[in-house]
Amino acid sequence: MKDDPGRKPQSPNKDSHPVFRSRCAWGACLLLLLSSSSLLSQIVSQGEAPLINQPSANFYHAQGSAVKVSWSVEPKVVPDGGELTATLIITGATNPRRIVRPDLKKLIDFQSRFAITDNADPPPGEGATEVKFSYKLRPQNRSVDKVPMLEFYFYNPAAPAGKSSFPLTTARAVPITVTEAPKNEPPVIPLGEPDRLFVVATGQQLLEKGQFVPDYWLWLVVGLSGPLCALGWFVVWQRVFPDAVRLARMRRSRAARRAIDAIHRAHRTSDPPAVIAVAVLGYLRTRFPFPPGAATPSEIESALDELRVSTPDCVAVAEFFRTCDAARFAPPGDNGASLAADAEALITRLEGA
Amino acid sequence: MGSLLILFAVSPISSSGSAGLSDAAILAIAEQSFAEGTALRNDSAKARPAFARSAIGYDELWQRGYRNPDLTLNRAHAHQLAGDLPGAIAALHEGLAVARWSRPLQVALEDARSAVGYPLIGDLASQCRPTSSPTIGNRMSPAEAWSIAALLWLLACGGMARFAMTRTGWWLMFAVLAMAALVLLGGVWLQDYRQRQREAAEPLLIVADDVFLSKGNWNSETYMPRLEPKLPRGVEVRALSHRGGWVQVRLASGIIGWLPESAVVVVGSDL
Repeated sequence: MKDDPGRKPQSPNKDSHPVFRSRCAWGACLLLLLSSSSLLSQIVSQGEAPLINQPSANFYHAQGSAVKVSWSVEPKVVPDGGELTATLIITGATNPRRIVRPDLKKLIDFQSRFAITDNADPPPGEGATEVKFSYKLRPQNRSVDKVPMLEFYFYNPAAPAGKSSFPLTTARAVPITVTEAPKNEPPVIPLGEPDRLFVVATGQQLLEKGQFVPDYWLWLVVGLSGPLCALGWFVVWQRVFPDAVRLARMRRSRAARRAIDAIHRAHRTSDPPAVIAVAVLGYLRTRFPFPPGAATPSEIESALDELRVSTPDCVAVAEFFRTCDAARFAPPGDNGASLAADAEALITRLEGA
Repeated sequence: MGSLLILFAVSPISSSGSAGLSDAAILAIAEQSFAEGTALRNDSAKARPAFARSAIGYDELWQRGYRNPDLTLNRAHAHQLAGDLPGAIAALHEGLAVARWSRPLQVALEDARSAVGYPLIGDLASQCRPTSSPTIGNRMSPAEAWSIAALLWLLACGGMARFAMTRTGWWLMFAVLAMAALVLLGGVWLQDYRQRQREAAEPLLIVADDVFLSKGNWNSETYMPRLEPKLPRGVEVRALSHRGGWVQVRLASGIIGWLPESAVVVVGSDL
């Protein structure tokens, strides 16, 4: 039988294999014959049913007389949480395309140290002299310090008599270093505060000490300045407007105040001269002890004269009432405004007398 | 200037460390730090320390007596951009203590309060939100009040003088009205003064870290009566008393409880 890579593995049913079809009595003899024959090597190379003395573990169907295995680890310093690539290199095998990838996940030394991921390695080409199986290994923690040794049994068809046909070779452990995981740089996050917060006042205005707060002295100044200003205004007013002073004093006379108020309201009536004349006459009767019958200008003048009022004043009063009569009964020629002014002046004159 | 910046960056400005720096130098450093933070605003991890340095500088100027609304706003902005919202609220309250009528400060305080993570649901949501009771002092500065009072007093005196001149009743009424307005102004200022006295009796505290408000005493570590959930940082409370590292506080709604002294910032402790 030729080494046919495309051939499907045969069933492990020993009844279907030629070796096990023979009788039991002949089995041992035939096996000894076959052990050195090319037929057995073909069976081994095809990874089929186990042979006598075949190791139960760590046998990956490699065949050859000088098979060597080794680890290639890159990198040897890995941060915690990082991965390294471990490549198992098998050389000296005569059936490189038949070698089975060791399953590190089933090996406690590896499974306890690493999280293991098999890489998808390309199959060895025709005439290849070595086989490589690579793995991604992520150390479980920082105490992991090596890629462990791997035991590797192979079949040596040319083993001399008395020596095992399944010698052991090993891939030596490779020390590694797991460093502290690099601190992740926090993501760059912009400030989310509103733009107005980024605007501040600058300059010497920031070095102003407080605000103007009036103290007790300022309140005292205001409290005193009000009455003082009012008093000053009053004094100045008396000096500048003496007639007004007299008028004000006159207004303190109730009779005069009532007469003047009536005179001021006279223009609102239908007959202002009459109202003004009545107001002045009422004032005179209140201010002076007039006889009840004094009503005409002449009678009023006589009554005032008897009361020792100065003659010019008596004449002025009489003349005022004549003017009033003229305004009331004569053709239009005068108005209430002038009469009111005359009346106010007359009362002022009498109050000042 | 370079050495000052190094000093500013390496060691926080303290009363001893900044003793040799002039006011103008500290202001310049604070402004430069703020500008640096603004330039780095796209990276908060780098910008916030710069704003924190700026806040330290502005705080130092405040401690030196430069208490005006502009500096208060700068302090508040720097603190808030440095991620210190309680510090910003405290700075605004300290500014309002000396310029209560400042509208920009009032607006800034409302904005800062809006950044506090008050709980959205539950009793606590309405318990710890601050309530405002505006008085005349919030709207009018003492200088303005003094000016208005002086004007009213002068008008009243002038009205009386004019009444004395003319004996006209209208002038007397005018004087009386001016006096009435003056009395009214004095009344509202008296109310404002009394409110300030009440507030001064209970110092304002700002919650610096999320913390539970504990209710009453407890004798076991397994049972601690408290208000759920935590008070968020930035909540304003009033201090009632202190005892054994705890401070008794009252929330805006009137609820009373206890907080660790280490979890609060005292507003205006230097005022």
